[in-house]
Amino acid sequence: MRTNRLLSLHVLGSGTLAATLWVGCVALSVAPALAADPVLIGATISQSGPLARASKPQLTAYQLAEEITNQEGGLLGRPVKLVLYDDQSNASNGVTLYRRLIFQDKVDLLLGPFSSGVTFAVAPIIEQARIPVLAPQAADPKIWEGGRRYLFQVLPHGYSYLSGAVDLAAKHGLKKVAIVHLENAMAIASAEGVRRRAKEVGLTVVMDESYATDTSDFTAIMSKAKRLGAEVIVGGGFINDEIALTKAAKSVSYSPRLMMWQIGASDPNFRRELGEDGDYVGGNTNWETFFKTPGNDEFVKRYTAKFNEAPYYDTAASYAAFRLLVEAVRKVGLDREAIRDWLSKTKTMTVFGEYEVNEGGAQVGKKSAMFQWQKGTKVIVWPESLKTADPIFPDDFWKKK
Amino acid sequence: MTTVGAPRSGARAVWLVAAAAVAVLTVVAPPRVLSVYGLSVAFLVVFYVTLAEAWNLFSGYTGYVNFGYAGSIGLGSYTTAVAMWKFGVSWPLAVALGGLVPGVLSAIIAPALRARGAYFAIAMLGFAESTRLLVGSKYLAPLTNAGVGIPLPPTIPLETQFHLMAALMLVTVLVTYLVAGSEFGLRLLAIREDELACRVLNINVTLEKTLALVMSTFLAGLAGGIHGIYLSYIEPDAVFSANFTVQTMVMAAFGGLGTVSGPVLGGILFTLVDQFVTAYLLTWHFVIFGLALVVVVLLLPDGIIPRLQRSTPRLRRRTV
Amino acid sequence: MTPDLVLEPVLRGLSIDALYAVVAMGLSLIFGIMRVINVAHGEFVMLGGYGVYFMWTVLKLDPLVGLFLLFPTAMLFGILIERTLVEHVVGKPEISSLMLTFGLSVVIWGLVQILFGADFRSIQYLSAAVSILGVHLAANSIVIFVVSLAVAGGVFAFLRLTNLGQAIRATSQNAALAQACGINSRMMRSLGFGLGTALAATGGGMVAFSFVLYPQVGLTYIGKSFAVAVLGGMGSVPGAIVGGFVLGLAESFAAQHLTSQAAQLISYALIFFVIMVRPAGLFGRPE
Repeated sequence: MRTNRLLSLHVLGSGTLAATLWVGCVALSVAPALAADPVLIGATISQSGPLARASKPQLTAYQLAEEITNQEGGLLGRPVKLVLYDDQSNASNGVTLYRRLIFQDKVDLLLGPFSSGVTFAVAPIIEQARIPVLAPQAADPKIWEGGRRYLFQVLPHGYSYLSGAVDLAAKHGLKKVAIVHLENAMAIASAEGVRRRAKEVGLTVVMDESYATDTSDFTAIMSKAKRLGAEVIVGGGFINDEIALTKAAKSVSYSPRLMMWQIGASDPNFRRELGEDGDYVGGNTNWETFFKTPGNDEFVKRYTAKFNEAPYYDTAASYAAFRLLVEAVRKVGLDREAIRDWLSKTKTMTVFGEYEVNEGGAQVGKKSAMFQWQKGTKVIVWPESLKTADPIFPDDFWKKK
Repeated sequence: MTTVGAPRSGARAVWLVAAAAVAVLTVVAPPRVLSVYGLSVAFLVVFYVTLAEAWNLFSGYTGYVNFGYAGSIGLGSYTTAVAMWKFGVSWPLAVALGGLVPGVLSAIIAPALRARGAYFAIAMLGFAESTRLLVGSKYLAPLTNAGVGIPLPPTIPLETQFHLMAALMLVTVLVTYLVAGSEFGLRLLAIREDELACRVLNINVTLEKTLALVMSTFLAGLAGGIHGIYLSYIEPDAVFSANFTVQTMVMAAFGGLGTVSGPVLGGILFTLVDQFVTAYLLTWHFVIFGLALVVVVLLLPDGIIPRLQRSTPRLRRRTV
Repeated sequence: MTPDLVLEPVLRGLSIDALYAVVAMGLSLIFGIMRVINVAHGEFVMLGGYGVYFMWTVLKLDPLVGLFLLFPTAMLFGILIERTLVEHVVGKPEISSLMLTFGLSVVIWGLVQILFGADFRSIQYLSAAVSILGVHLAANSIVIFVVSLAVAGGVFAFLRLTNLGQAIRATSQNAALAQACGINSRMMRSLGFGLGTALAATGGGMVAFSFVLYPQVGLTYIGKSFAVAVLGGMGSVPGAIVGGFVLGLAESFAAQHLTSQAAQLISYALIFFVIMVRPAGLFGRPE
C-alpha cells in the first residue's frame, strides 16, 4: 500500500512536470501572431555576448533600411516590419531563434545573423526551409564551400581580406611578415589568404600565431614580432583584440612599417579610443563613406542624422542586404523561389558595391580594399583603382607628425 | 488509507502503466503536436533538464560544486562531432563515445576530489577551461579543426534529436531516482553533511564521490553529443560556453538540490522563461534574468521542492 | 638563451601580475571574511574601469587622481551591496552566494551596456614605451606596478597593524569567537566586502589605461582572479600576491617562449594541478 501511494505520488508528480513542459512549449508556439498586414522581415543580431559591439551596426542599419523602405511606401503596398531577436553571440540560440522566425512568427522574408559562426549554424535550417537569405555578416568562405542554394554572401571572400596588405608590402620592397590572428573561422580564412599571397609574391612569413578569444595581454606576441624583425604585421579578429594588439605593439616599442587588421580597425570606435596611436594602422575595408556607389551619399547622410555616428562597412553591408532584398521583392513579388532565382542571377550595384554570386551562393563580384588611418581619417591605399592617397610606411610608427 | 483507495495489486499495475504512458508520451508526442519551433524549444527544455539533473546527481547529493561542468558537455559535443566527421562513425556510436570520453576523463581527474568547497569548484573550472583551450588550439587542429569548427551534415531530423534527448532525460531522472532511494544515495548525502564522520564510519568516500562524478559527467557528455547534432556546427566557444555550467547550476538550485524533481522543475521553468524573455525583450532580457535570479535566491534560498517539503508534511522523508 | 629572454618576460609580467594580485586580494578578502565566492567581482573591476574612464573623458581628471577618488567611492558602493544583498546569503550553502552574485553580475553589466552601449573604451595614458635594462615597457605599466604595490601594501598594513584591520582578520579566522570577544562581525563583513570591492575597482581603473573596457570585460578578469586567489589559498592576502606572481610569470614565460595559446592553457592547467597536489592552495589552511 505504501509503495502504491508513493508510486502514485510520483506518477502524478512526473505527469504534472511533463504537462508543464508541454503547456509551456505549446504556449510559446501559439503566442499571439502579429497582424497579417505588414511584410515581416526576420533576423537575429548579437545584442549581448562577446560580439555585442561588433554587431551594433547591423541593428542600426536594419532599422534605417526599414524606415526608408516604409517612407517609400513599403513593399507591394504593405509596410515592412522587422522582427529581431538577440542570439547572444551564441550559435545554439541562433538555431532556435531562426526556427522561431520561420515556423512561429512565419516571417515573409529573412536576413542573415551576425558573424560567420552563427551563420554557419543556421545555414542548414535556411536551406531546409527553402527561404532565400542574404547573409550580410558572414565572410568565411567555408560556409559556401559545398555550395548553397538559398544562402547568398554579401561580403567579399574571406581569403581576400588581408591579401592586399601583402601586395602593398611587396610593392614597397618589404620582406618579412608576421601573422597574428584570433582562432576563429573568419580570422583563420583571412590568415590563410595572407599565407597564400605571401608565397606567390615571395614574402617570408616569420611568425604565424593565433590566440584564443579571451586573451587580453598581447605584449609577448608583439615583443616576439619585434624580435623576429617583422616589417609587416597583419591579422587580428574583432575590434577589441585589434585595439589591444595595437596598444601592445606600442608598449613594447615595436615599430613595423605596415600594420593591418582584418575587421575592427575600420570601425570609427577604433580610432576614437586609440587617438593618435591609431594613425598608420590600416586594414581591410569593404566600403567607405566616400565611395561613389549608387545612393551612397544619401545613405551616409540619413544614417549619420539618425544615429549621430558615422557608418562603416558592416553597416553598409547590412543596409545593402536589406535594400537588395526589397528590390528583389519589388521585381518578382514574395514568391520565395522567384526571389531565390533573382538573387542568384542578378548582377548589380548596391550602396555597398558590386553584388554577384556564383551558383553556390558565394560572392564573386565584391572585392576588398585596404585603407589606412592618416591624421584621423581613412584613406584607401589599395587597389590602384580605388586609391585616394599613398600609403605611409613610417620609420617610427608611434611618432606622429 | 486516506488517499488511493483502489484495489491494491490492480492499483499498482494501473499506476505503473500510467508512468509508462507519461514516459512514452513525453518522448513520442511532442514532435506530433508541436511546430518546428515549439519542438526546438522542447528540445532545449529536455536538454537542460538532463543537464540539471545530471549535475544534481553529483553536486546536489555530494555538495561538491562542479564548476567545470561545461568541460564535460563540450567534450561530449566534440567527441561526437569528431567521431562522425573525421572517422565516419555512425551517429549512435558517436553519441555513446561522447558520453564515454568525459566519463573516463573524470575518473582520471578524480584525485581533485581531495579538495573541498571553493577549491574543488575552481579546480574543475581550471580543468574545463584547459579542455576548451586545448580543443580549440592549433595543437589539436588536425583532429578538432580548432577555431574553424566542424560542420556536421544535417542528416538527422529534429524529431529524432528530440526523441533521443527526451529518452536520455528520462534515463537521467530514473537513474537519479534510483540513486536517491538507494544506500549509495544515502552515503552521498552523508558525505554532503559530514565527510569526516563518513570516513570514520569506514565509508570509502573517494570511491563513492568518484562514482557519482563519473555517472554525472557521462550523462552530461551524452547530452552534449546530442546537442552537437542539434547545433550542426561545432566551435569551441559555443559548446564549451561557461553559460552551460552557470545556467545548469541555477536551474538545479532553483528547483532544489539533492531532490529528484527539483532540477526537472527548475530546468523546465528556467528554459521556458528564458526563451520567452529573450523572444520578447530585445535589450532588457539579460537584466530581467539577473534580477529574477537575485530575487529567487533571496526568497527561495533552498529551492522550490525543499520549500514544498517543509510546508507539506507528507512530502517529507520521501524521495521526491 | 640570451639574458633578455629571461629578463623580458619577468619585467613585462610584473605589472600585470601586480594588477591581478590586487584584484584577487579583494576576492580573497571577501571569501575569507564571509565565505562567499563573489562572481560579481569581475563586474566591480569593470565598474572601476568605467569610473576612471569617465572621470578622464568627462571631468578631464588624471587617471591617477581618478584612482584616488575611486577607492572610497567603490568602498561605499561595496558596503551598500553587502548590506542590501550579500548579507542575506552569509552562512548559506555555497550555491546561494554563487547564484546571487552571478545574478548581480548580469544586472550590472546589463545596465552598463544599456546605459553606455557596448562600445570599446580605453584611455591613452603614458602609453609610450620606456626602456628598463634594455627591455621596452609601456610607461603606464610602471605606474600599474607601483600603484598596485602601494595599494596592496597599504591594505596589508591596515589588516596587520590597525585595530580595525585586526578585527577584520579575527572575523575572517573565526567569526563566532570574534563576535564573542565583542567584535561586531556584521560590521566587519560590510567593511571587508567594501574593501574587496575597492580593490577590484582599483584594478579596473588600471585596466582602463592598460587594456580595453567593454560591458562584459569582467569575464576576462574573474577567471584569472579566481585562479590567483585559489593558488595562493582563498582568504590569504599574502597568498594572493604570491599567487599573482606565480601565475603571471608562468604565463609570460609561456607566451614568450611558446605561444599565447599555450600561455592561456598553462595558466588554467596550473590551477588544476596545484589543487590536485595541494588541495588548499599554496598558502591556504585546509578547512
